[in-house]
Amino acid sequence: MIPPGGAPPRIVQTAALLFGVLFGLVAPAAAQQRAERGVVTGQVALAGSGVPVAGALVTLEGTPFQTLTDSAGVFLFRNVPPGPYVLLARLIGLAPSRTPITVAPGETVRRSLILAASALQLPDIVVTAAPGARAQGELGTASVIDRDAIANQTATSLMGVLELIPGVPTQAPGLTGVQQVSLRSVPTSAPASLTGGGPSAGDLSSFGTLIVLDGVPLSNNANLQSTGPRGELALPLASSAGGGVDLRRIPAATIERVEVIRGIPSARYGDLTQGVIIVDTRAATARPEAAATVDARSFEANLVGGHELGRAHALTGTMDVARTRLQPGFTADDATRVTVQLAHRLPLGSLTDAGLARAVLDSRLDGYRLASDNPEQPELFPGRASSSRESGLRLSERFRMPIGAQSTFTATASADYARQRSLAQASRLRSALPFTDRVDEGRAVGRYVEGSYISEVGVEGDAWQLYSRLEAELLPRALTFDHRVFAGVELRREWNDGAGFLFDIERPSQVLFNGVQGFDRPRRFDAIPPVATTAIYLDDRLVRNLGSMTLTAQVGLRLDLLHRGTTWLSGVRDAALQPRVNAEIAPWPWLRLRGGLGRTAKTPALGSLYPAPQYFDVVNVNWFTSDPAERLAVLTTFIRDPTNTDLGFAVGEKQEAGVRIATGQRELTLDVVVFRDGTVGGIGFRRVPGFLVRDLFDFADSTPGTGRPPTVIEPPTRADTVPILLDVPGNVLALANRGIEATLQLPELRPLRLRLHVQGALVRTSLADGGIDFGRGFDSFQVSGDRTRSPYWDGVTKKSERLLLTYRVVHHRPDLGLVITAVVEHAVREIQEDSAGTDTLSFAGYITRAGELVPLPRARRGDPEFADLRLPRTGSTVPRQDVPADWFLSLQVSKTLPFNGRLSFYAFNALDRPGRITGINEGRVFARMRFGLELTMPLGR
Amino acid sequence: MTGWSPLARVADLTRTAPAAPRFTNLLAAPLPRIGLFWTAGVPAGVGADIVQSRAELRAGELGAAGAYRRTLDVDDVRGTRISGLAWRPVGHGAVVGHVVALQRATAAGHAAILNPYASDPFVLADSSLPAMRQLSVRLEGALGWRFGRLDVGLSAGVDEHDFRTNEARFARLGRASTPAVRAGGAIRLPMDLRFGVHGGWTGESETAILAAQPGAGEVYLLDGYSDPLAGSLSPPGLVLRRADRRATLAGAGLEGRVLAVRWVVHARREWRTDEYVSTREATPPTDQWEATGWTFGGALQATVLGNRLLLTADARSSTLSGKARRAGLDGVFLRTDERVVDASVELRYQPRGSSWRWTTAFVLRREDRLRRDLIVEVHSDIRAWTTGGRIEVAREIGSFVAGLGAAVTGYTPRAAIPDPNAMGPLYRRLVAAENSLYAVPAVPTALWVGVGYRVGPATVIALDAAGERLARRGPRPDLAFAPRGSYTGWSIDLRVVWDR
Repeated sequence: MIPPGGAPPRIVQTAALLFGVLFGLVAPAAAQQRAERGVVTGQVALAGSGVPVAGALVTLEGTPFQTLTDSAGVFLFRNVPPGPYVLLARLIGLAPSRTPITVAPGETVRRSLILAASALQLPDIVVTAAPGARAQGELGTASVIDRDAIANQTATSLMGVLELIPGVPTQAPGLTGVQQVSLRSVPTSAPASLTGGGPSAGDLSSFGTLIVLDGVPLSNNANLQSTGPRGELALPLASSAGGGVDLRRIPAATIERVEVIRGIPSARYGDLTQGVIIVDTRAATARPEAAATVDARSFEANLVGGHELGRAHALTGTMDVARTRLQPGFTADDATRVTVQLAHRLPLGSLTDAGLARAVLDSRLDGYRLASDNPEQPELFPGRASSSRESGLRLSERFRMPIGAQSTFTATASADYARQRSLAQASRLRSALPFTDRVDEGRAVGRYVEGSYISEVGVEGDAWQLYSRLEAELLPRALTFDHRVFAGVELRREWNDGAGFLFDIERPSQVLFNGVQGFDRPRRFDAIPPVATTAIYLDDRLVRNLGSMTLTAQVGLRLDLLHRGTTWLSGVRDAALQPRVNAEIAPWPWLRLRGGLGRTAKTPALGSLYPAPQYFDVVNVNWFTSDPAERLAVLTTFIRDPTNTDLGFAVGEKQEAGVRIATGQRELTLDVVVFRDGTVGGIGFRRVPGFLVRDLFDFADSTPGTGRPPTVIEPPTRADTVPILLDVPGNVLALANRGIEATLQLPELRPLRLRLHVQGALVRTSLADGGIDFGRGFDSFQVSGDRTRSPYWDGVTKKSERLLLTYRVVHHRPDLGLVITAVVEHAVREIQEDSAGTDTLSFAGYITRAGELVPLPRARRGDPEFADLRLPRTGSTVPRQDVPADWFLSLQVSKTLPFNGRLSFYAFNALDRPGRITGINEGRVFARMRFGLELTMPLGR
Repeated sequence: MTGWSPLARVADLTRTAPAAPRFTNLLAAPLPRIGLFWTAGVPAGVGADIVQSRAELRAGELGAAGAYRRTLDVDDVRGTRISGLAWRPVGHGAVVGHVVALQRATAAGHAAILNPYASDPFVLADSSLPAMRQLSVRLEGALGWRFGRLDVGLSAGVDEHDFRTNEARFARLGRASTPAVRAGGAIRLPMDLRFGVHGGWTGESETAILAAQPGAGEVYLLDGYSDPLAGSLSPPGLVLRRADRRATLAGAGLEGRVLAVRWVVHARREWRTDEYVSTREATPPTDQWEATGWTFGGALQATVLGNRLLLTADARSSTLSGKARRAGLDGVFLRTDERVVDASVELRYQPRGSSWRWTTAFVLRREDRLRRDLIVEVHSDIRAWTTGGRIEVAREIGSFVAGLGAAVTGYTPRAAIPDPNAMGPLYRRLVAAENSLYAVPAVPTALWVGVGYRVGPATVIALDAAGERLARRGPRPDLAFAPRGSYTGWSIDLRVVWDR
């Protein structure tokens, strides 16, 4: 957010300065020299025989450069701007081949590419994330994970693929639990039993990580499948509401390629604070094959195939079915997933000289169903059960048309729908509590809820997202720079049409009544207005040869607008201007220095912009006798709207600097990046104090034994005030991450065919809550009229630190079609603590019964008059936990089979190392050993 | 040809029920092989021992059931097994790979661990007899290089198991992981001799969890002949037992040739330490088993009758001494001294120009097992001979080949075992039947039949079935708790073999 009338933040000033440097200083100096472009050429041949492959599609990945090989298997690209690229050759029926290259000014790069029936037979298979490949033209720190590396992972979903990124811990395969990624941050939440289940850095990080699937952003903003901040903790819903997209919906088996931009993304990407994950699925690659994976808990089968329908149409598709049983032989809990993708490509217009279509219309239809079931175990936990079912359908269209030789126009549109149904039930046992069924404000005679019953809560959401983008790409040469300019506008509208939060009001699930706190009433989601956002961006990637050096820069500016109303024509509620700059200089071909800084912004979720009304049911009369006929409960219902009209974007500021050393092609490479991220205005909940006026009455006819309840004498004879806390969404969280990431790829040890890849990340995270903590004693303060005040404390800053090293040893024998990968995850350092005073003088002040906050300087807190406030802080802080270093090993062995099949064995935590217990509830417990087999068979060409 | 496996048990002489000799499967089996690699398990020998390529894929079903079994054995076994075994020369060396995936459904076993009859006496068991499902994958391989007169080699493997009850009221969950690695070198000496050394390490981690959810049950911790420790487990109780077993070996082998006879002799020393904990704490109390042993052996192979008859003989003797310590108890409470001698002679005959081929083998096994429980001061001393033979015949008819085989063995023990009536009730329930089975003469018999089709000069597809029966021999002895009836097993396999 831009503070009204405030000076631009330091990062904006710095970015502006860099703009000036790049355009004002460097350009004139560089204008003295003329940029020269290079040539890339080579031949595509079959592995083993060396027979030239004609008709293979060769591209410089992520660029407009693409061509088909001629009858001699030869390809040629002219006028290629200097810089690093990934040369990709593919032909249906053969495994694609990727080779990183670097084009020097005025030079010709010659490369021979080998295609084989199985990737395991390719001489240069890469089974790790490639840190230097920037296939999407991004200059910020990015890692590219290709199909070969994905196939070498024990991954069930996208989350498993991301384990190839420095700092991301490996997890057992399967669909267990909601899976969200936390890029460049360490989760700060301790177990919910200690923290009350508050947001963690991981929640905030995953919320601010953009997932782009086949060119269209996914969004979780309209996901309302939650019981909210005052909801029932004992009714956990398997939901990613309030966090990032549940990555289980994207099967690893159907992913062709993933690019993870952890640094400063280009201005093309918005609605994020942490990074971008760009996923391309195999629906466009059409190499028909079937695969099945089985282990003791999971089963997964998938099918990938395609068909050319004449010259004009190509139809391809993928299907994946997976099931994970959480504790087979123990409980019947399970998670299942079904996904279907269809892709249609329609070339338009005449063919170019390279044999490619002039314009293309790509259509995608994605469907998925993700279900988690925890059925009731009547003998163990009678009444307790839950289920969560999410089904989604997305139609997206992308029209891409070159205009002239130097520009391209792209229009993208998508409609994304998710049907979300969550159900949770539990057995309740209550003592007698006064209770009202009112759903509006006012006073009414209530009833008593007591005994045991089964409560059931359902949340029914129908989340929608409409997304469109118009983008122009230009390749001009100006000021002696080679430019690649993107200019575009994005429109997004999100809403939820669901029936909402439902339960039987006769059998409420919430048990936290204290005579003031109400229970959440049913709420319809379709009454919540849609959220509309607009974004405009301009991004330029410049390349310039400065003598023996190459300078590459990426500068961009993005403006995100959050509208007040429900359409893009309504006024602006908040705006976020986001300059972004990345620059890289290569003084020598083996050394690249780069740095970047920029701002990012994340739209608040629908549930934060329009929170549920909060109910307070104040007990006026509580006349409870053993004879139910003589009981009388009178309650007044107050409804408070916690909507915060000032709620706006969470804004991230990112800085990074890195160095890359690479000696020769795929020999020693070292990448080191230091980074510093800060997100301010993260969405949390402020507890806003206030008060209610409670009427108190006298009775008539209150003699026991009459068989009738007493009569309330109107009007009330007196009143008192009851302090309350309203949970108001606010931009109150500040997330700060800093750390260092490194990847090291050593040259292959030829005699043993061994390659060692090491990656590591040291990340320190702090999550500061700008709210106020009223402690657990506030509930009793609310209902104790004789207490005049109660202490409060400042918010907690949660801190975490993690040093994670991952060693991958890869033994590859192309002649045997064999790849053995051993992965050692070494948790060197892991610290978690809450920074907050816990002594009896740590309170910051007190709240009165009228809801007034009275701060107290520390010097006065020891005065005798404040003795009642000197209470130890309880229940909201975690003492420092420093877990000793430990490691575990995972294995994967893949081997070609007859008929170009492939058999893989995997063992996660192959040695079944348990972790280490250091104290009561402290230590590290590794996920238990899992092993299984995967069989892949091609289905013809 | 299983001596090369890095996953072969080290410093352990598992007690097995009497069994008939394994069939070679004449339809698709390779010729018997000996050598530093195949016989002595020296990985550096792989480069010299493998000069041809071979690959075999196999898929099949198996089953077993019957009353003539030990108390901790499972009943009603049904399983599916898929395996692959291949070797080939590669550059200046050779490579071997072996993978086995097995899924089993079983019933009626009291044991909550995978191998209740290892020399190690610590066994977790419970009172339930649940249906269980077991999934296991075994993956192993060896790689060797030849550098002039020097050979080096490495073999490694991993064996993973997951076993759990199937919809039981008293749940049993377990998993085990066994990685193993061996490395060594070999050198060519004058007079056509090769000398190799190797060292190896095996680590096994096994975790068993018993969960009383929703039913209750009894948990037993067997560790000798004293009445087992027992405890009741009520919902929602949980028992965790974790075993970390570590074994190492160092060995050497010498291979040579005299006239037409190729021979190998080998020896190795083995050490084992198994530790058990029952809680998850920083420093939990530990039950411990320590064992050391020697293995000596030799093999020879000769072709006679103008290369038409191949004679292969193999013998090895293994000894093991072990002692067990219980957490919280000073000193050793159980000692074992065991020796097992195995010998076999196989004749493989294929007349030149004939469509017939046959093989016959004679096997001999001597077991001496002394186990002394120092707490209750009783012991078992089982000495047994197992002698038998098998014969297989096959005939090629055009591209088809058919085979038939039979095997029979006699198990003759002379045993001193504890008097069950003088022991505790849990001994009588869980241990007595095992000792009684070892003390009773028995006859394992087996039959095999198979057909094959030669798809090409080097490719054979074969379908074969085998059945085995174990029953006591002779008049019914007056031995309490001895099992009755018989135990039968069967298997059906489809194989595809590429032999070049």
